[in-house]
Amino acid sequence: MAERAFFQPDVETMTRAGLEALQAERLLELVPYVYERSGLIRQTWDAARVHPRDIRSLDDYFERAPFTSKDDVRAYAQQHGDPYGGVVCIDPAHLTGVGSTSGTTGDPMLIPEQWSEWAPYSLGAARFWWGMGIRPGDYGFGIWTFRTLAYYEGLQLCGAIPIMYDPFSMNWDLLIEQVRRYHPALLWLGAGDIIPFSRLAKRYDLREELACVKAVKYAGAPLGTRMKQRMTKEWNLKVFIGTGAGDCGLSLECEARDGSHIWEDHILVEHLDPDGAAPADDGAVGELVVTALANRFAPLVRYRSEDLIRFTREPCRCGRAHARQWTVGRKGDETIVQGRTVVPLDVWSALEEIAATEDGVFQIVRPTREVDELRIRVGYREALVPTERAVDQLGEEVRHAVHAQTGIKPVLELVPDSRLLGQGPKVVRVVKA
Amino acid sequence: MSIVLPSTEPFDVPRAPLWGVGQCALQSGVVDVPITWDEIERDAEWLTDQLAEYGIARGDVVVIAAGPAEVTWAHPMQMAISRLDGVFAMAWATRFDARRVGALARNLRPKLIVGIDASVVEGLAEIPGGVVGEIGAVRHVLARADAHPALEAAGVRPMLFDLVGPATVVETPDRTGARVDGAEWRIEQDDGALVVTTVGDRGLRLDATPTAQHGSVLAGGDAPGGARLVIDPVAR
Repeated sequence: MAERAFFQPDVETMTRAGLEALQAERLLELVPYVYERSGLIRQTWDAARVHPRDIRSLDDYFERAPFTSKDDVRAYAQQHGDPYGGVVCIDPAHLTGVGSTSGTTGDPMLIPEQWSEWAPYSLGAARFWWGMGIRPGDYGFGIWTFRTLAYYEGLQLCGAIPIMYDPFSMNWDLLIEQVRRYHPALLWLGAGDIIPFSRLAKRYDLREELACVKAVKYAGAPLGTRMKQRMTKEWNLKVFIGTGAGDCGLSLECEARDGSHIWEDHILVEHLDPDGAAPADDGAVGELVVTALANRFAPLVRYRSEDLIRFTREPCRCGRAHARQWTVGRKGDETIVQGRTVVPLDVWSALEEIAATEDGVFQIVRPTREVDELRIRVGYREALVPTERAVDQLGEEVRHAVHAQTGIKPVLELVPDSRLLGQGPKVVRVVKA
Repeated sequence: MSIVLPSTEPFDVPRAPLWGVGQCALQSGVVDVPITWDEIERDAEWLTDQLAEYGIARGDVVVIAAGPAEVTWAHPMQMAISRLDGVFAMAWATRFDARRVGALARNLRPKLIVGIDASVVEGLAEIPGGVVGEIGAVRHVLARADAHPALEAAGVRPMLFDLVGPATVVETPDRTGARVDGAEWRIEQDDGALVVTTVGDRGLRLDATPTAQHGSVLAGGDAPGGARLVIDPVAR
């Protein structure tokens, strides 16, 4: 068992044709089931004058099924007094757990669950951890969250032992102590952890201290290019980028580290024009649209995630045919400055070039999506910018770097990074003021 | 309608001997808490009995507010809620996640909130609805000792939930002090500090070890239902 490359070889190595056949089977069973039971889907499909009997193939579905969105779920919740937004297909008293989305832009959206350790979330996580080399008896860092139990149950499915840590109140030296004690195979870093983690390099030889670590899972926000290089080259870490699969599951890079896989036996994935229904081209930026195929209690159906991604269904070097995505940003995070699109990653890439701002602590400040000027609030390391004159000089450097990256001269507010850190698990990248 | 399973493949990965490694606060600092599958199971059983006294039943929602490393009580709590056919909802016990605690309380109308601390109450107070607007309608609030003064000032009458080192303590609706599972832990008072001794068969062995909590033991382990204690509301 320990020698096999895949946790579930039968589904992980399915061919594209096999996956599509499985998806068609599951989808055609799902559509009438969910139409009968989900208030939101019944309302949405009736309004679009589409009936499950119109759907006899994947192509029918892609052509006719109406979309849903977070706004639709929230509106249904408000109109009908249903906290779950009309997505639950069973008696809510038979749910076991309720997760929720991050809630960056309002009340978090509830994610109802009928939880078991074999739930798709945990099973999907286990496939990823196994692919990274996590094996029975290994230790790995895990976390208890508001979202899912998969972040520790996935490890347990692999026969591994989760070490729970608290990034918010953590003395980061404790991480090193725990690494020395347990020699963990998996390290876990969220977007808000990357700065305190990288600062450990001043006190420890991370290359040596973390030599036991087989994989570092990073998620929460795009990782800047320079930071990724430090992690992989300087500290010799294998970094696996994770992201969400449209509120339906996890998505993570495999050992090929060429895009984050989405488990297509669990999720029907589409990659569409962010402003329309047409498929986006491979390699082009599109919106991730998902349908939960292995969920019979509260499946999201043709759900527009608002995640902007690049995408491919080309087979991966790892041997899996499951689709891969590269996160570009959130649809709502795109800022149009005099007709030109700027996403947070553009700003981050510029800031990484400058030592005092390389941690990427910044916000795009905009009252509306379309603006005349690019206003950014950038946090700098105070220790590296000791005088007012140095702050002025840094301002010039930042303006120049952002201009070179985006083609736009920004209106800049420089603040000590401590002002933006510690307000939550990550810095909110786009704010109104 | 059949339920679609993600895979039909059998799983043959051996389970690790340890369920996981959590953390707890002792007077000497934060220490690791290795915990086995049996310990998790016994803790879940005990918590099931405590929650049953709140009448948790089919469909009742319980909001759990826990720290990211506090799985050694949060997971048994989830199991206990499930065994009573209840529904658990999760939030971090942090100031910045108080908004989530409030949203879950407003939208799901839980019968019980467990685990909120002073930081969550501070966060709730900053939301326009305030503490009462967000959680005032919840029938039972099981809060950590450091949250009690602010909750009481806001007009909420909490009961005690907390951690004494690795031991979970839970007050029941009769308001006679918090209970600890006497088959697993013994808690005593030593010059104001609460000290804990391992009684059950557990990986973490403590012997009258001072914890970060101060308080009083109201009744010893031979009292009906086990020892009762109160914890002083000092910052953790």
